[in-house]
Amino acid sequence: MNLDSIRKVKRSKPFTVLDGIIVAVIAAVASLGAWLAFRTPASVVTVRAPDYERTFPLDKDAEIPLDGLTVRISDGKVWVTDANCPDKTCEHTGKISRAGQSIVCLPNGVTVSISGEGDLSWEVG
Amino acid sequence: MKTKRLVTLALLTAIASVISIVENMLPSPIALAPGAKLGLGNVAVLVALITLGAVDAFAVMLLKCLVGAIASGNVSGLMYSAPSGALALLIEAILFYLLFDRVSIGLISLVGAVVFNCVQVLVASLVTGVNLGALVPWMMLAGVLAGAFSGLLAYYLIKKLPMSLFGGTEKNKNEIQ
Repeated sequence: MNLDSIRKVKRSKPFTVLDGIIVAVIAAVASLGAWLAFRTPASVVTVRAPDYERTFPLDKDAEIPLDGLTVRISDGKVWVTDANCPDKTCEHTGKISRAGQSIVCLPNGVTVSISGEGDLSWEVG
Repeated sequence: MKTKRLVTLALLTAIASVISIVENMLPSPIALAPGAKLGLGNVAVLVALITLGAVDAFAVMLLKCLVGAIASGNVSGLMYSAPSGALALLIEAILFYLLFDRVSIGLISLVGAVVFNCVQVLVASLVTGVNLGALVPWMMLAGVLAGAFSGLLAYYLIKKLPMSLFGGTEKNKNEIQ
């Protein structure tokens, strides 16, 4: 039995000043970690056509006129308008905003996809 | 006082193991985190650290993990609990010998629980091959709460139990070593 240690514990206080400092440091590290983990990751929009490939930031509004259709980026969403094809599947896809989603227009050979670090979204599974 | 140490060590190991087994049977207190538990077995490990020393505390901790894993049938759980427990106890022992009593027993336990949870996330990331770093802040928070709770429990246990129970007198003189 380490009687000295036991006595020391018996004499000690339940909380100390240094406790508070260390807990504050741990709380700061955890908050920083939470902020880093959950801030909205910057996603990019990749637009591919037969002789065209460019990436655009998702958070900047843009209008990209292509052969047969127009890609619009606004408010963090991407969609296709003014498609000249008969089925208009690309227009019907609607607005996409999450990494991993894409719009395809087969007649014009155009694909629009969003990629970014946010792939592991809450929609997995 | 060899026998006393042996008996205390056996007693604390038994207490830690039983708490660990019972905790494994209970459903998680947090619905979102299956397998999350308070880790009350660490109270016995902390008491071992204070009353017997770091080496004996390591024995209690490792045996607690082993018995808990075998009894719950989840032996692969050792992969998580043993390295996490060992590193947490190492840090607790260092804090206890170097910084006590400028830091309290509660804080030593709190830091140990935070380290334990962080190492668990690391091991889980290595095992699954998925970066689970996003869990770390929540695991740290859980460690702060659970660690402070079990640390205060150990503190008041040592504080309130009479000195004669440990084989000493209330005064500093005439102790039986």
